[in-house]
Amino acid sequence: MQSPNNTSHHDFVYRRIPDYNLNLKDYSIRPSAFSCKEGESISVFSPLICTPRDILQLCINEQKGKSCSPHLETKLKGRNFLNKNGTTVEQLVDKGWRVAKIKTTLFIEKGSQVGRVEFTGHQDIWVKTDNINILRKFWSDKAELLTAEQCLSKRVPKEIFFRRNFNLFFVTFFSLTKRIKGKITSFIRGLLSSNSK
Amino acid sequence: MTTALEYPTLRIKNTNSSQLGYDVKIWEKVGSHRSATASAQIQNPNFFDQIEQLKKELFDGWDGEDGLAPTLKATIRAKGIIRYASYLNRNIFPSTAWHNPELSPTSDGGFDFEWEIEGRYLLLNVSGEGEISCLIKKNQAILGSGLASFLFACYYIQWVLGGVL
Repeated sequence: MQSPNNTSHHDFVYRRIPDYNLNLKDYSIRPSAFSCKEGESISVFSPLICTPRDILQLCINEQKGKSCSPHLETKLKGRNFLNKNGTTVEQLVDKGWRVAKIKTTLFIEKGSQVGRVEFTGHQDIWVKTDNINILRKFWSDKAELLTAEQCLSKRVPKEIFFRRNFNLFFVTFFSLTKRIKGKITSFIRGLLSSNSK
Repeated sequence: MTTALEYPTLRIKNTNSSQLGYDVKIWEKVGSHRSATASAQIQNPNFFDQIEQLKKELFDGWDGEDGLAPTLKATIRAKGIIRYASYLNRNIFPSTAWHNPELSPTSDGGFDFEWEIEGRYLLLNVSGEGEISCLIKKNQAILGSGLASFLFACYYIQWVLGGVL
């Protein structure tokens, strides 16, 4: 288990919402979507690494991995999940699974600690369970449920795209200017030398 | 249905068998453990089926993580609360209508019940261990939150239904 760390997080995170934790009449999120066992954390995902679709795909991949496990119990868990919810993101969304967007500050201001972002985009949120019902209701009211189209979309949102690729842009820009600069200087030097001759 | 859970003391009078929606065995906690049959008519008797259905449908890992399937303890306790609360509603507060709550499973193997009626809100959680906790709100203001006994949970349900102040 990683230690909590507040330094690396985006201004919002994604949370996977199972069909049972949604009110399918009005597609509101039920407080049970934010329930956690004592001493355990709530799983969220960083938008810098995952799109909503990636989050659902990650869930399916995990279950596929479990279904191939040598441990019978784990294997059954994985198989049950895939049999019930399907093996593709489309099937999962069709079953009623969604992704919700929630501001990170809503966790922090309530005394929760946001964990480090793992390479998959997964993050843990350590919650104080003293007044968990108040928190669960608060978060479920504040979270924004994404539509089926948003959950299925393969496009990365603009703001996330630039934020995610900022380093790449930075490096590319400087390497290009460096190259161009080199070419320009060599061109000028060439001109100067031809003139002098 | 007979269970060994801690049901509160209740004296039952004038049980009308024709009105029986469900036969509920209520154990008397104080004194000798005598059982009595009480009527508990629920507007939508399928609600118990919903709890049973969740118990049957859900398996460990249902939420894609380590979510537990509803435990036997939680199921028995959840049914007990609804039975007893609906009994109270029928017999002690007959002027208030019964509303089935919104039911959803929690990852610890428990259940959440939600009522929202005329600005009154009750979130009743039965944990996988059978522990009951509540959140009570009125017009968006939190009136209380924390652990609750079986009897208090039933009292809060009457409050949200409009039976008690």
